Amino acid sequence: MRRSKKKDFSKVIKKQNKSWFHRLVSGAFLAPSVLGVLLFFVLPFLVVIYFSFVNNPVAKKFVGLTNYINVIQNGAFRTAVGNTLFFSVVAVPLAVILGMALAFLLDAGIPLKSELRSCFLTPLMVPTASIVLIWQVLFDYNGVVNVAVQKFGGGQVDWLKSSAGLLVIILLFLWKNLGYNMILFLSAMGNIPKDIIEVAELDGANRWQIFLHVKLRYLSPTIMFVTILSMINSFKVFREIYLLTGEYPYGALYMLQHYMNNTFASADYQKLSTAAIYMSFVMIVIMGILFWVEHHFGKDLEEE
Amino acid sequence: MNRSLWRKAVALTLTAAMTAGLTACGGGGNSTSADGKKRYFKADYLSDLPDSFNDTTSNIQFKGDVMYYTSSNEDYTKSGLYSYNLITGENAQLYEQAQSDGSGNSSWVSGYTVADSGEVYLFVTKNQMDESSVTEDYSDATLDDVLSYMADQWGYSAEDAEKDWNDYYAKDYTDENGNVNYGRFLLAQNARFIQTSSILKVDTSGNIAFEQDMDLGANAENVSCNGIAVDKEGNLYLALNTWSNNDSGNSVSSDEYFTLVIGEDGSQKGRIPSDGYTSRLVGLADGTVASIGYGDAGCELRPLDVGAMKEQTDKAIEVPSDTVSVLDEKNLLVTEGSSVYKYNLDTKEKEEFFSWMDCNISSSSVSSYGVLSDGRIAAYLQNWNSNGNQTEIALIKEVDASEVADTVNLTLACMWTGSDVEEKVIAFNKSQDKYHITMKSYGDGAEEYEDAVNSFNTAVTSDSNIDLVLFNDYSQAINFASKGLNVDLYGLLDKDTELSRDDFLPNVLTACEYDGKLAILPQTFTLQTVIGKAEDVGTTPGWTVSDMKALLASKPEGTQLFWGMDRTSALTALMSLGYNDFINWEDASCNFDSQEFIDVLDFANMFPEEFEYRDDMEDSTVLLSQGKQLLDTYYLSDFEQVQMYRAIFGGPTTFIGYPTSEGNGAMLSLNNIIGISNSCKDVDGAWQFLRTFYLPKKSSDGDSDYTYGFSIRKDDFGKYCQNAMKADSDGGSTWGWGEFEVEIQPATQEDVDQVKDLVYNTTAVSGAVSDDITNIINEEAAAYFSGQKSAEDVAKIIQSRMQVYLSETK
Repeated sequence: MRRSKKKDFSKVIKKQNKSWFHRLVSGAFLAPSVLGVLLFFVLPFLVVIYFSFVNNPVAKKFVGLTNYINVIQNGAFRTAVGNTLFFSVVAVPLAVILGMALAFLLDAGIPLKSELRSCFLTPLMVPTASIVLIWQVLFDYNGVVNVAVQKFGGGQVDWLKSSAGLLVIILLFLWKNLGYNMILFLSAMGNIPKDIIEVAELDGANRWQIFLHVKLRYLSPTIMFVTILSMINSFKVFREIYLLTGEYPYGALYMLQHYMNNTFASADYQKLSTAAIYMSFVMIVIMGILFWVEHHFGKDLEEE
Repeated sequence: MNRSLWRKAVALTLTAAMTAGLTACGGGGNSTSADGKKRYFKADYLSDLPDSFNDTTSNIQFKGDVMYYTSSNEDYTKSGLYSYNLITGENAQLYEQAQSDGSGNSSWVSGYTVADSGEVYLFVTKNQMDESSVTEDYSDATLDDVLSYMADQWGYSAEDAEKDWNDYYAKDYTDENGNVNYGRFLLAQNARFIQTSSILKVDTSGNIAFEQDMDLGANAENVSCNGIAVDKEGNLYLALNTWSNNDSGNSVSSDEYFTLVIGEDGSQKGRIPSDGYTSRLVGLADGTVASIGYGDAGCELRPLDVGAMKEQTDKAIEVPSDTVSVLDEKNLLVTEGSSVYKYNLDTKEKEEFFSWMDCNISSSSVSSYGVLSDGRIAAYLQNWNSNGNQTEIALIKEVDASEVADTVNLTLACMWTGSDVEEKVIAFNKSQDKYHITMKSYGDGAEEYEDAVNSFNTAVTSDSNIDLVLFNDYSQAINFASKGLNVDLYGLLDKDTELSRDDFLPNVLTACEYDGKLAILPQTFTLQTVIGKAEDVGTTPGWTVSDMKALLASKPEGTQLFWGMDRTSALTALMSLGYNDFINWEDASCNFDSQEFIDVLDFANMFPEEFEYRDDMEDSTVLLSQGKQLLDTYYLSDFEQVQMYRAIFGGPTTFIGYPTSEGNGAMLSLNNIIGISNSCKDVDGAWQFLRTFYLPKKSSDGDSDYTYGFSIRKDDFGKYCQNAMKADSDGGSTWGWGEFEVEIQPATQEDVDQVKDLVYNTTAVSGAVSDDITNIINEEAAAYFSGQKSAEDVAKIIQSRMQVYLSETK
């Protein structure tokens, strides 16, 4: 049975006016942020793109893809990309998986839950310089770890000046970031609808099935968020490596940020800009993939 | 769906932008004047100064429109304080005293200040001979005795002794009747002198209102007056530094700094202890007095509280330098670098008032300055050069742009201004009115060296107003050249009608090339090498680490290569050029993990871990002469040192150089390296300036533009060699080092050939690579030297780190 609707145009106009007013107000509130982003991120980004296509910042002669070819052929850049990629590929999934595992552990109602949570969050409160000092004391050639290793009959390991350095950095990264990731997961787990879990239990789903098909599905936006956050943090690990090992570290610890920092110090802005564009491109691809994964697997949740 | 995609695209773009933001941070730059307008200044020079303003004039102060100064008369028997009104030309003598009494005693005005009321306060120092401190009788001494003393004790030749006696010493021992007392001269050389000080107040009529000797108590045998000022209540402030000496002239009491306050009636009111060194006092516009000095926080101005007798450190103001004067109630004038800034006492902000360079005045020549009532700035300029002490009074005024000739302004960027280049800029600006060069320094005010470098780098690479660049060192210059930031100077040199490539030393030009282009030119150069006895090292420059090891092995145990060398300095010396043996610059590869480098580490490890200096150690000259030390680092910039070393070694020497498998082991050190930026708005104008460094010298030029090092012009260098072979017009000179004194003779043809051979065949350049190479090697080698790691392990780490460094530079 069809009912004919009669539109009240005065209400429509009022609604439209209200909508424009709302947009104007929200626009006014957003403007400072938008301006800030444009001024401090988008504009410099455009300058970086421009710099990557010119021969030098003074003559500014367009050189096409020359800088891109030079940088991709540069041994230091390739080493840095390899190390950064390896570090991210290992450290980021570990940070996500271990963060989530810890969250499940604490959610399982184990004793000393509150104390453990505080314990995992402590590294966030320690300043970088202190973190570096602690890790230097631990992993110096004559540090605590080597003393312990020697006590158990092992030989001294040059942790920060050998390939083992990457392991130290991964540990440092996890130590620093696990707590925060865990809190994010704990928070997300609190938002999983209990009734769906109960329904699943009534339907006979076992714990693994509930974890895989309910909890993990509901956690997927958080997983993506934590992954992106961990990726960004993985790029920031340069600070610690730089303070631990200086501008030119052992080869295995040389990261993309070393390359960028050093090319900035030597006023090599073309290499710096080009490397930054490469890095941005890789980040866009990775983020795009993550968006796609999240969209693909979390679609049914959104539709609900 | 589309909207979702749009959002995601925006998110990704912003991600990219923020990722790029991770690249680096930094920046900086110099502020421009508050209104952003270019200001113009013009300096006129006073030519009709009073007769009392002569070569002896000193202690110049400007107050209002009046310039105050002290001068001596022609025969140095009297000295006085004078005033000269710079606007009206009125000149007056405010005070006069006997300077020398003809018996060796002397007296001089150490400091003075003029109150707003016109009264003058003077701090007078007297030096009186204590005759009782000498037992010998010199009453019958003659001129011959005096000349013999000068020859024996001071090393004078008979001719020089007589000349200097007549020119400088005789006047102090001649009484008013013209009688010369030779005995007093000899007495003075052996006697103890007692220094006393007194203060005087001279009223506006020229009468002495009070005069009293200073009694500063124990440990105040010597007094230095660093500042003098008077407040609105008539209190006199004297910033004093006192200390005492023993009979040998060494200080036996620590320096004491304080400000003595004397009341209007001449009575001592008390002492204000100084928080650190006080370099001067300044009367503020509100009638109070402040001290300026250096403490833990750097240079600061501290108002003095005469009631509490203390410095008001809680009200201290940090100032860039102690060259401070009062402009008005709110503002001080403060000098920093080559500029004068207005410093606002309320806001603590500074604003550039004017730059000395804009007036074609070298900041290093400015002794004192003040602001006249008509707004002009009066400055007393003093230039010391080979032509003597030249003084001038400049009156600077701001002029309208229309009054200044239509000039092209070119900016010369530098990290810090240097007097050599500054003088060239001033000379160029004065010589023509088509171009005006302005020096802009990016290192002033930087707290760390890296900050200065970053500020300079950012400016040179992003400021399109920079036309010329004065590089701080060779590695910086080549770094910029490698990025194509400099104009190829060959193009300009080849077009020049008075200069050509052939005028320059070819190896220096090659060192200034990058990619076949002449990227930079230095003003002068020196050579850094290693010198040894020809008998030990042979006669041909250049050797390897193995040769060095073999030489040391052939000598008795305990023989040193260099004086005071420890493991780290040994490795630095071995690697000064030796790093080239382990680096392939073509493909940016290295082999620091090779056995050869491990052998170098082993060799360096033979030296003591740390050098510990002891007072009883023999100095380098003794060890070299006895063959206990084999080598010395040599900075070649003249011929005199060649003779000095020959005398020390006791035979012919060879510039053997730093060990390396290629070349003669010597390095060129380039001074004042300048390039023209590709952003230069008038390349021809910039070249017009740069070429003034290299134009052939006219005979009228004299030596007034002497700079350290050899000229890079072939003919100038040739002339220098020829002149070195001529006997000095003043009969030669004596050079001394440690136990050795050498009467310098004209250079021999052999000396000249040896130096020329070295100069023409040196291609390596000091600072050709950054310090990172040395730092990496030394940082890692330390673990081997301290016995923590094996040489092999250290070599592997160096190889890894060095490979990263080299790959980055490719």
